[in-house]
Amino acid sequence: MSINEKRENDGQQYKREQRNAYVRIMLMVNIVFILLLITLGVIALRVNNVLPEDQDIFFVVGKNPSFEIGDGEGKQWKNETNVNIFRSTYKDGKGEAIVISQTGDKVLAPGSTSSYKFAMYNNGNMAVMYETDIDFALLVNGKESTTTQLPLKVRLYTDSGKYLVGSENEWTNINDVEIDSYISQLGASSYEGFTLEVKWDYESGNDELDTLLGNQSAASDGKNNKGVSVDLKINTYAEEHIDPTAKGGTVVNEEGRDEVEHGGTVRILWFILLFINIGMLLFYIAWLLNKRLNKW
Amino acid sequence: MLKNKYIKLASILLILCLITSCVISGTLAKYTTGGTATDSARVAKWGVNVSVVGDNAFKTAYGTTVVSSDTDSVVAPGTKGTLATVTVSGQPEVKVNYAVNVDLELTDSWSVGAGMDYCPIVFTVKSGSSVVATVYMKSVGENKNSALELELEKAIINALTGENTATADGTGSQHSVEKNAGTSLSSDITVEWEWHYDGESVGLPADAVNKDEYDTYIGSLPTAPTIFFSLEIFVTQIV
Repeated sequence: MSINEKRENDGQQYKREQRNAYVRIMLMVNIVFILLLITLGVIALRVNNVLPEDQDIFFVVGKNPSFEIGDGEGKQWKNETNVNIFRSTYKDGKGEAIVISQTGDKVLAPGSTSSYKFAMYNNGNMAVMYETDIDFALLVNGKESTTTQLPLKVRLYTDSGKYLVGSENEWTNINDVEIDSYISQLGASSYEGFTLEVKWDYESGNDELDTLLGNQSAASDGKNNKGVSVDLKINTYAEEHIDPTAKGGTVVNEEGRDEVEHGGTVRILWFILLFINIGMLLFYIAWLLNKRLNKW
Repeated sequence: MLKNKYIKLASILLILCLITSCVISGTLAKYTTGGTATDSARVAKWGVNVSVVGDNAFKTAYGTTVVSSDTDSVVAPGTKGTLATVTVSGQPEVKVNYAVNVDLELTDSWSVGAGMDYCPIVFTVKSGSSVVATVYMKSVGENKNSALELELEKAIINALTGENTATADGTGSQHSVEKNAGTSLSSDITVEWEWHYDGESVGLPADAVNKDEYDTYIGSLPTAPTIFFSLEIFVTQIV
């Protein structure tokens, strides 16, 4: 065999080996992809089991989710949005000021009451689950305190009359508020309103404590000595509902809502992909077997 | 060659499958969002301090001219003293009711006849060194002693608050004034008393009743007239 022939043989041998390696890689990728599709299918089937009997959909095509939280002043909650739950001035029924902050800070005093309204809005075309909770922190000179008593009472309830804190006839003291996360759902184009009420009874039954707290505040210099203050935080988290057609809240407007297309098209696509991959897998296996048989 | 084409075709199909899977995974991606609202507030300031000092309003001796024969404190023509020194401070961030309750008890002996109340003591209310008001009897007569108490009470609260709008409560035993939130309540007053020696004494108001024969009369009574004075000041938040 001449050198050129030997080189040609070597070249062809190299190409064959390259091709074999390439096919083996594609075979591995194909197997992995089939496993992925099978996993997705298993998950989908399991999800399908928890849906109502008359529904077997688990994919949503044409999703248009939109969830936001806003208050009565038109503020939208984002990340740590500062809102006006408390005030710097409080007035009586005749409109006369009974409490006025000298520094512009928001204040609390015996006889002060405030009512803060906010709402969860689902403006999308699919249901969402949401979770909300409240955190209070009582601060003395800027440091959180668990022992200081503040005769502040709160109530939190939905427009539909469900009380998360307190009740229709009872207010809960701020020191005693314990609220597990409130979880609910909103249907497409629906909303749920909430009202948070905070008050400090004029006749709290402990004038000495009221006076002590007021004197502490008067002695504060606004820097190191800040007296007693309250920090309040309302947290809300929302995610798409497992059943996009779930109902909940007050529907805004039935007309003009986008229809959600559920399931069928994507399910078919899944099957097509699976068949193509199985076909390719069989092809690669057949090709490799053919090569091996030819060798023998 | 033909086998290479098949391999290439299969590879292209596989790539298309991978792209399509990305689209499917997009339909499985879960939508999540959230929001947090925060707010804070401090306790409104109070910081009101009221001090009333008046332990030595009357004495058992005034120099050597008037000396009590026992341990009782006494008053007599030519004697004087300070009933109370009042200091109020603070600028509360809440609306308040400023109330003054004066108890000026003049026994029935402060009288020169039936229905003829007589009390020659002149009460002076000062803010700092400035005279704000003088309260005294202008003539003898019925119920004059109780009228003195009410006048003195009004004069004190007006001196404390700088207003002439004090109103009596339902029983008339207390006068009060409402002050808006954020008003400075700082004031410093004294309430003095003086029994002028005679009608010619310096500082005696021209229309004040002061007669030697009346002084002699009540000084000679078997049961000496007595005077009691107390002053209460209340500053209370109102809504």
